[in-house]
Amino acid sequence: VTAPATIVAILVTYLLILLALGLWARRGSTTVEGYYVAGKQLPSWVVAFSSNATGESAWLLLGLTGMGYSVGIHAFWIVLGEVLGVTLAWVLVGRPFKAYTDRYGSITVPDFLAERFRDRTHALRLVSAFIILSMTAAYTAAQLTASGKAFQAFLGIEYTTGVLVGAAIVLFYTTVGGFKAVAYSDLLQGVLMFLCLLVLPIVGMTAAGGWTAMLATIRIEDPALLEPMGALGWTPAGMASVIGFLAIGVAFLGAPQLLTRFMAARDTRAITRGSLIAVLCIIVFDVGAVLTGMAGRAMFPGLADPETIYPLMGAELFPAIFTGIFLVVVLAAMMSTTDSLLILASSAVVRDVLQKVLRPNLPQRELVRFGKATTLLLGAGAIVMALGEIRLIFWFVLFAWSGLACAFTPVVLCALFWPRTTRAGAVAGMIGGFATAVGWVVFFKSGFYELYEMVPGFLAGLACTVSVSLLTRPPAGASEEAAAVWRQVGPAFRPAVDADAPAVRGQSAV
Amino acid sequence: MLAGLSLASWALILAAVGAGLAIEAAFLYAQGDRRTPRTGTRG
Repeated sequence: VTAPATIVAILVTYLLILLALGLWARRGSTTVEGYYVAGKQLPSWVVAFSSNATGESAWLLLGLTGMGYSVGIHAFWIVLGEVLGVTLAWVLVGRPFKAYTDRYGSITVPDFLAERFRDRTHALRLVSAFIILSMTAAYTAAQLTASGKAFQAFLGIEYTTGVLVGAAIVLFYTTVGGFKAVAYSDLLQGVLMFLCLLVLPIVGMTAAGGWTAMLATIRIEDPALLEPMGALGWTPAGMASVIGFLAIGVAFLGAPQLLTRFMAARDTRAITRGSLIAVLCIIVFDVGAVLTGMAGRAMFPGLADPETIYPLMGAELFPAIFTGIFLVVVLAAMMSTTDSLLILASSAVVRDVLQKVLRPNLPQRELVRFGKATTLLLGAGAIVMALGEIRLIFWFVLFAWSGLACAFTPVVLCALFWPRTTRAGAVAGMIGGFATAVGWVVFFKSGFYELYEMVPGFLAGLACTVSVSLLTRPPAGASEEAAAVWRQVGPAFRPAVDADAPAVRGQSAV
Repeated sequence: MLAGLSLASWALILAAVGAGLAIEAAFLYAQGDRRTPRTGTRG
């Protein structure tokens, strides 16, 4: 298959914009804080789109549309879980997290944990760095796999070339422009994903004969596709599926790549302002993806790989010029996650290990140079992994998603909302949550109705954090510190007690 | 059955879309009238 000139032109334009963004953001990336959190100056709309575009990878367009295709209405449990996860993250977690991290001058999540628990042993930093590195490697490789698959499906280009082109562009702007380039490219990519998932289901459902006709066609094929409990019904397997789908959203409350966005926001008000954009955005993303898959099921039944429904609909329902746009949107979804993971992993190496543990006196310029080199190195590793083996995107991503979430979410939530949490509790929670998630997949999952590892992983992380905290000496000063933070941000759903509290300026401890 | 779907299915769709919006509306309402204190690098 030869790629028409229009598709290539659209693709090249998009890639050039990304390269330009990288160069534009270059000036701000000369310090560690500039390179890893864009100097904490992001406006609300950038934070909102960036966090959703990061959270929703190529899985949204290929995996979730595939779920809509293969399980129908049952996939709305994923939508419910994700919408609740994003909403609660913005309403409950974002503002206190921002206030704490500004108090501490933190620029990474391990930074926050180390300060919050006064960890002088570096245990939290080292455990965090290990988990971040191992999970982002798998996650990034899965995204590059998606890039290769997309090029193959849309342009007929070889898989290897697709992986390499996608990786080269991401690596350029992430390395050169740092977090600012990542966040602003996320904005562009998030808007593209938003528009696509607004238009594609409408066109798809119209082509399928409208809402009622689409449902009638699906009902003839399989009536279970229109039931909330799907083909499994109210069986233990059906319940496990529902709980697992809902649990996907838990990660939004504590995954480090998403919390970094709150940290990089201009101030807590940017988080209040951005919350509505974030909630509306995730609704359009998820509902759009599931309805696209359902429309696809009505029109193109019997696909061997449901994850190909998105490129198929793009190619069949739109003129050739749009094919380029649909390819760009998949690449956008893939890149907006990959860039964030690369910068997260790089920050774990350079900020949390090199600067804070090994070489505290290294000059900023040197650290940033190391940061850029690490980004490149991690990218190269992901390329090798992606070229080595092609796997189902959905599975691979969900595992990395859950591993990061189980390690960090219980500990971050306890750190924010339970002052009694101790350093030992946090270390136990991270290791317990992560190990349970991994152990569940390897040993237990198949015997427990394929229950998603996020559920036992999160619960184990929470149980370890709480129980070990209760067994160890209460931390000194944590309650007073928590009270001060909550006085600053005020409660989420009630008028603030002390709304005129003086503003606290971020103290850069970089 | 309503517009091709059972009531249970509609309830799920409504919850998926409406739960987040309802929480967000309550949050914005509570934040709306009061001066949200600013904390951050720009003070």
